[in-house]
Amino acid sequence: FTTLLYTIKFEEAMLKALAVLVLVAIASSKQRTLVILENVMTKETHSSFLADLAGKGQDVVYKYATDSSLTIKKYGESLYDNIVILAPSVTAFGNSVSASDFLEFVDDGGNIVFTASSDIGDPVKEIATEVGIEIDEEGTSVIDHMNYDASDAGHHELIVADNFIDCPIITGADVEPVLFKGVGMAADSENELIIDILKASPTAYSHAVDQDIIEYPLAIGSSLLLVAGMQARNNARIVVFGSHDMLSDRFYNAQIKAQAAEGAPKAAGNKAFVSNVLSWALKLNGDLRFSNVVHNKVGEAPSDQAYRITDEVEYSIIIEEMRNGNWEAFKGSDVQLEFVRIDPFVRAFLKPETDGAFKVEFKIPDVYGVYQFKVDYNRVGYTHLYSTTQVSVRPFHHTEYERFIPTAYPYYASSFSMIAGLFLFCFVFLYHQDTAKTQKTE
Amino acid sequence: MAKSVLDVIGISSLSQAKKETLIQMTVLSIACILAFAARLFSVLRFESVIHEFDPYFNYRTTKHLVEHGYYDFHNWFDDRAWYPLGRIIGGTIYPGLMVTASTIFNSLNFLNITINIRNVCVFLAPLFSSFTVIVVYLLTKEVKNAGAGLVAAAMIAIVPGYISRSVAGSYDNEGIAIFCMLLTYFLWIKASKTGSISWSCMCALAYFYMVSSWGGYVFLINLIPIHVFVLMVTGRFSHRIYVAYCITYSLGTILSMQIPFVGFAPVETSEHMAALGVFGLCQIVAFVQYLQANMSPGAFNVLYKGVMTIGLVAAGLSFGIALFLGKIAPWTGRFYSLLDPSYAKNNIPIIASVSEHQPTTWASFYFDLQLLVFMFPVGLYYCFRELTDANIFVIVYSVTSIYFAGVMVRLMLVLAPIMCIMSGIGISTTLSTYMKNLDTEQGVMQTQKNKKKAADYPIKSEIASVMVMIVGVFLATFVFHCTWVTSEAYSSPSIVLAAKGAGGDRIIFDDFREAYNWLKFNTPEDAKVMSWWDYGYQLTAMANRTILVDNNTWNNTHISRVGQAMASPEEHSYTIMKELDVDYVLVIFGGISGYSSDDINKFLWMIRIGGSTPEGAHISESDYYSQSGEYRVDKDASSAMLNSLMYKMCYYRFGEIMTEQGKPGGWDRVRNQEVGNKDFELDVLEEAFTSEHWIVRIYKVKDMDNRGNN
Repeated sequence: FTTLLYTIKFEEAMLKALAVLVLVAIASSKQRTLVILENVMTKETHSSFLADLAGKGQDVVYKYATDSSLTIKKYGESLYDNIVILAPSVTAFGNSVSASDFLEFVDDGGNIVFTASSDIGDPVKEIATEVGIEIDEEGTSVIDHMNYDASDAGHHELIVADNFIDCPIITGADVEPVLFKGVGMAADSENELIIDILKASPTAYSHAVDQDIIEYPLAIGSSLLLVAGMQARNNARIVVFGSHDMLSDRFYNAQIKAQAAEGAPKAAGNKAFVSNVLSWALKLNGDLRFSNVVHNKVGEAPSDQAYRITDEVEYSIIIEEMRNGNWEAFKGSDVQLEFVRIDPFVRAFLKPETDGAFKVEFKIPDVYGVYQFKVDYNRVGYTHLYSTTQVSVRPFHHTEYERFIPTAYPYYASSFSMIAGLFLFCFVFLYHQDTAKTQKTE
Repeated sequence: MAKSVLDVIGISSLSQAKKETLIQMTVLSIACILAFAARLFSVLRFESVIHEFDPYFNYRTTKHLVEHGYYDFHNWFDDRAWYPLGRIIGGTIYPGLMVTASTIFNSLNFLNITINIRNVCVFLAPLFSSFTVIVVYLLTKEVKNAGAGLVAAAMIAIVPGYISRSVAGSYDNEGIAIFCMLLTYFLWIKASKTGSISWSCMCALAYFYMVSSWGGYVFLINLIPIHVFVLMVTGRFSHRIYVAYCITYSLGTILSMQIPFVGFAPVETSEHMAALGVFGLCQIVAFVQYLQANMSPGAFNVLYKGVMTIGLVAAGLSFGIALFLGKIAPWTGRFYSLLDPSYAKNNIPIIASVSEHQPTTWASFYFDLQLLVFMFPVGLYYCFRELTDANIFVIVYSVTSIYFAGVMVRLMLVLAPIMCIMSGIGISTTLSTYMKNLDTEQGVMQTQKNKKKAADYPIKSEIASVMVMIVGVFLATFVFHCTWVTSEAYSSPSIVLAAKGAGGDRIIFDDFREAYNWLKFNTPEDAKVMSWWDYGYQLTAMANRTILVDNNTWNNTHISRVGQAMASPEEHSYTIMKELDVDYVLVIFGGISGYSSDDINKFLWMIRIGGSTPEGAHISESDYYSQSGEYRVDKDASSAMLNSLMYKMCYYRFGEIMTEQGKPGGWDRVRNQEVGNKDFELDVLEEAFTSEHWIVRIYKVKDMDNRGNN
């Protein structure tokens, strides 16, 4: 009896330990986010933004930019999943953390959101440059003589921007014009990973206020970026806000009215826009993942044997999408499967089924070789979904060809008649007696 | 003393015939053992390894055959080679070699003699060389006599021209094919001499074995018809020949079509048309002879002329139509290059790039055959002196093979046996002519008639002894030459290299196996390795990694694509490599070790082959030469050369190395030039491995930049 009691207790203890482990696992699944603040003031000027960030299920750690205990990586592993840098004008980070540390963080898969302003510091500028976004020189700002806000001080730098990218996953569905005051950016034209989240209006340009324009500005019109994003090949996301003030409480609560527009001032769209972009950057939206890639002959269980040419095969893959922090079945209708041997031999739409499973059946081409089932789904706003599975396609075995084909019947007939003929001939040749000869001898 | 020894073993009491047989058997067995032993240099010096390139493929397929059985082997689709095209192994090889080796392996294991399959493969060629010795003896005996047979057998045992392709470890088709070929010839002579159906069937079977083991059977299937044709022209055509040829041809052709790789070629391609034509001619000639025997001469003449005219016109027309309709496949490139040595060079770079397809130099005739070159005409003379059907065969064989050997180096192999046979006849006849005249005890007891003859010219005995001595000296030098050539030139496994160090000691370069093992243990199992096609077979066999192109050069476009990747600048190569899913690139570099057959020396072929297809139109050979039109790697080299992927892979970090005293860093010891492009970084590749003597360098293809910067 005591032993039974003991075992029950032991089991209880085990269960408790397990529960604790699960809790720890859940806790650690919460994203760890480092927020780097420029100074004490930032926490107050940007309190709404920071509250929003904390509300996104993040485990937030605050550090000042010059903090000597600032560390991103320890024992070769990143300490955080995301970094938000609200320190545009810092000239050097504490603990000699440099731009290259942040880039390494990106290469390890971490996401970075940071702000810039006209008073731009070198480290922030360098991070942007290394991801293909060039921030204009210190002291410059985006100027728009047509779309400035009514409350502008006269330099036309406080502008109303509404040239958003057409991508609800990043910006949210209904996006209102936002108030912007800051520095302009230009994208590296050869870098195909950059996403123009918010572009300036065609009448804007980037230049130092109160200075004569002698040289051509960094960028003008809609090639001038106000908010730029970048999704690296490892799907790490980076967002640069050209305006530090754009995230501030003051702008969040501002009423805006573009000079040219008519009607009463409206509430600025900053809060919703920034919140959505932040969700995207932290991969709470638009993140895709796949699992359970299965391929097999129609009606058979999956095996590691090579396929044969002209086999009917079916392929299925489960694709899930992160929506507001939860994994849900992906519902895209434009996902394609390619069956590739250097060139795609088959390209077919994957049909979504329940539970995020996507399926397609097709016939393997009549060409043998080493193929790949390839799903290469690359859409703006979503992570780059890329799955390849290599399979071999062999020709027929010698026993798999059709045994009797109608066109060959004449040949069968000829061989069998030949056999019969030879047999008859032998028979006649052996047993035939030449009667004429026998008569003569008689 | 000697006599008493003979008495003891009881030999002297044997009859003359038995003594002869004993001597023949002894000489023959010693020759067989010698043939086997002379081919073991490489095993003794290095170890029991497979040599060179093609043997590695044969070894790999043999292993597959042993492990999975014949049907699986027959249906084998190899997805490790020619990525991503794959290769059907069963339908694209001559399976004779693998089947032979696996049969030996299985029967030995059945007898509980456990032997490694690799060792079976390594020692197969020497074993079959021993068999060849016996067959050469039998063949020569049929043509001339047993004495000539013994001399020929002893010669074939050590002739370098044959040893070159049959040393231990050289596990290639030719190793057994020469045996098959000579066996077929022997049985053909037997069949044509006797006109017996059973010998003809045996000949057809031997022919089948030959077809199953080597593409060189085409030579055989043309030689026998030529023999028959020559016999017809010289009026020696008889019923014996008719029976022998008709049976051999029809049976042999049906059998040969059972080899999947040969398929319908014997009735479709031009190479086989001579045999078919002679077969038809045989029927006509036999029929004409029959008619002639049963008709009056006048009537026969009229019929003959009429039928001949109509027949010739009809034959010509039908051949033309068939050729026009494409029913008769066009002559293949290798065959064209047999007839016209410059054909391949001008038209098919992939054939011309293989060194063994180059025309033979005079020096290599002497190097491979030595004494035989001089004794061959003597044998030919004796054959002409007493023409028989069999003699005509060897004459036809020698004349044709000497032509082909002159066209292509590798066909020296076909020439070597007939050289031995002819020289055997020559030496044997010379010796037996003069031996008789030697002034020995028996000479004193010569008959009256011989004595009269002996008085024909003075110092007859002395001349005879001089002649015998000269031949003896020749034979002795032949033996020394053969041993030397075998030991120096033909016993290197080429997978392991050896060089003489400064102090005369041997330095072993085992870089190839080092690198292949590195690949095997340090790369993902499905990694794709790009290299020039020479190393394909070794890579699949030893590193077990997927490769793009290999020594079975069946797809010119694919090889050309690899050539383009090697010859283009980095960025362009990168797109090609990404298209072909390349993970690693392997190059062979001899700049430090002085290994001269490295990729830089083969590079011109990559450029030529790369530029030979439409995709490679941007690659032009002349761009890679220096201003003065030379092929250089130093500062004078063109920018296309200095920036090509191959150049960069070979000379990456080479500038830091001091290779020779008194020379600047980056001194290439093969080209004897200081490299022209020293300080550069690789953009799309990173160095993954470099072997001890830098002979093999492996690079990993970088992923695209994570942050989109180029």
